[in-house]
Amino acid sequence: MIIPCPEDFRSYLRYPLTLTLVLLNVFIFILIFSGMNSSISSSSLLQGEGMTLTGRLYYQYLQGLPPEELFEKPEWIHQVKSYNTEQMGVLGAYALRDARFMAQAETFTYRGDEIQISQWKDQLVQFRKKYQQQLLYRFGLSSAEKGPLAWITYQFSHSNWIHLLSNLVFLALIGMGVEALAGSGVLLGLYIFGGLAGGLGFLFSDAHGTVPMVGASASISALLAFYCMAEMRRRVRFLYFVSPMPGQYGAIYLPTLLIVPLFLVVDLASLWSTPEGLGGGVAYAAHLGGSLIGALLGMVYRWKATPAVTPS
Amino acid sequence: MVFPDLSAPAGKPQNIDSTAIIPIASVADRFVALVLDFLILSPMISLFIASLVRKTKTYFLLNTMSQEGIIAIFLVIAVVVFLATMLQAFFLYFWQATPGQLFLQMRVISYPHKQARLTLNQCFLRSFLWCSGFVLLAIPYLEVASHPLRRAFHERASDTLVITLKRNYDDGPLPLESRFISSWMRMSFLFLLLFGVIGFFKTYHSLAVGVYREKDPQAPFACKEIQESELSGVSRLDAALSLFLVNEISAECLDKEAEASLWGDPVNSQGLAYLAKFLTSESSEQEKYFEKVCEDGTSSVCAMARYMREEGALEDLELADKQLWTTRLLLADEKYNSQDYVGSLKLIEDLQKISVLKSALERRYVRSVWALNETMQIQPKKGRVPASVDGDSWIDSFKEKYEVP
Repeated sequence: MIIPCPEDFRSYLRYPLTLTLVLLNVFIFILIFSGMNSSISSSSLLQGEGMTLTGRLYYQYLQGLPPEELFEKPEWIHQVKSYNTEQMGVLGAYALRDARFMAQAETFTYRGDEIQISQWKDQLVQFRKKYQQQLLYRFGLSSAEKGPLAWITYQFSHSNWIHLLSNLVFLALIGMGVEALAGSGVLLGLYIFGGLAGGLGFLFSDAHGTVPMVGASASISALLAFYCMAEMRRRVRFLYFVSPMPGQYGAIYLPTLLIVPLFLVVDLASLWSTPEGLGGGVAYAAHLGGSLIGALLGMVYRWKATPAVTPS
Repeated sequence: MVFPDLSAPAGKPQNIDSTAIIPIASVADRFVALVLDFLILSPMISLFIASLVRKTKTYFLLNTMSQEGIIAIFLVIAVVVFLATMLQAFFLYFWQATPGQLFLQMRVISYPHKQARLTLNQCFLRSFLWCSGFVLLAIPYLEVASHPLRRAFHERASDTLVITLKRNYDDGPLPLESRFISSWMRMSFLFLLLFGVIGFFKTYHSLAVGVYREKDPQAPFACKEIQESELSGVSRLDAALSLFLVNEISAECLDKEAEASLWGDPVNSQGLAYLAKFLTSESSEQEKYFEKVCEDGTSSVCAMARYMREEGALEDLELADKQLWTTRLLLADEKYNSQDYVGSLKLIEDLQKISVLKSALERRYVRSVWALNETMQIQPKKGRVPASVDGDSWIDSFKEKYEVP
């Protein structure tokens, strides 16, 4: 593991906004998960047979779609065979992410085992109701119609402890660098606008998804890209950890540009290598959206900060 | 031409001044450089192969045993090896070091034949052999820790050596350390060989028993317990129901057949499929399936369901479609229960003409003949009794069939 750490994180009081952002993220995480008793994950729709059934019904739904709408679906969907139960399971997983299907799936007419279909429709209505009641869904950003506040709340919400901790480590380390370099105002602006750009990137890549996006990673990507552009020619401290053996962890001074292959190219490669419609739980497009705005603002900052050379 | 012995420790290089001190790079520095190389080069390579990886993932998404996917994996490996070799060779040729080595103040020099720069051949050979080391689970790299000049196989083969530009350089391993690592490496190779041999024979065995044999693509959804692959539609489900009733196939198998029928072919065999679901579903759902089967109360399938549910009301069975094998099997059982063994045998013999049911009904056949024989022994022939004459012929044919003296 290697992460940029330009500032000394022990003198944290010098970075009030970074600290505030970190605490805010922790507070909202606790708020979301305090006393939460989610029965969503145990829903039979998300179990093997439920997924297969959903896939079968979604297959029939696809058959009724006009060609231009069907063409919008991922390429692999066109290769799915209705008699293959494994493929129907995969299709079911995709169906649960398709907002247009999920919004009115129980109103369509299907052929097949009518007893199962009738039970499935009841379960779907229940599932959707519980899903939408979740605080994480309400705070998250998705294609479903929600208030404009979701664009901000998603930036401070996280889905689990690992998600929160990994984001906060980066936020603390790179946030301090940005705050020391450009000040608290720029850091706040970058965090918010980076998050907004990340949201746009996410919605652009997943225009009809039901799964909400949460997390500060788009904002952090913006901070990384900003720092990379603003301090392009500097060597900064990176912390590395290979193993706890002596010499295999510590600090190393490397060019700031190393952030590009380490984080930004990885996001791009991951985005391109993920089968469409079935992401692995990471919104790479949001990272890239945040990175783009961060890089642009970084260039502007660099241009403004460069002192004009006047002939004596 | 004499080839240099690559396995010999190059403690005394020929062209290098033996009195000169070689600033060997330390193992820790080289390890960190390796990690940095991985972190810098792997995203670039990932970017190049992203589309191929996506395609490969899609193949396995749709079929976990996809042959296309396996080929795509080999292509991905080939491209990764090619790109890693090219990138490393590029850096070595122009900067005499990989990016990680550059950051850690290391350089790769030609050794023992002194040259101002590495040749292109050296760069490519070193990079390619470095990549090949991963095939042996990176065990050859352990030599960096044991060789007196910290030279692994890929370095000796390409006549190169990694040096440091730092003031503090490595003195090489202590003799004891060197011997320990070398023995460890040999042991690792032996274990690798052992696992390789076991893996080979295990794979060969799987190949011989047909684990990798191509599955029938025509009916991947159907239950494998039903051997007859030519059956389809109503007759397949009818056969499955009959086999289930004589305990030749499991409830899971019948359920699979019913699912395949309901979701794949809803027009022809929907009634029978719901009947199958009625038989295999849990008690909470059974009532719903019964109602579904009997939506049309006059239907043949509903009559069968009523017969099965009420545990044998003959008038229900009489209403069922006699063309169905399941109906005939139930009738045969009904006749057996009412001690009409000849009638039961006639129906069983008729059903045994269907190849998928032939062996499955053998026990029913023997049971009926046995019961008939018992009856005939208790009630010997008195005068003209047609049934007994029939019974005799059945027993004779049984004796003939099973070569009973």
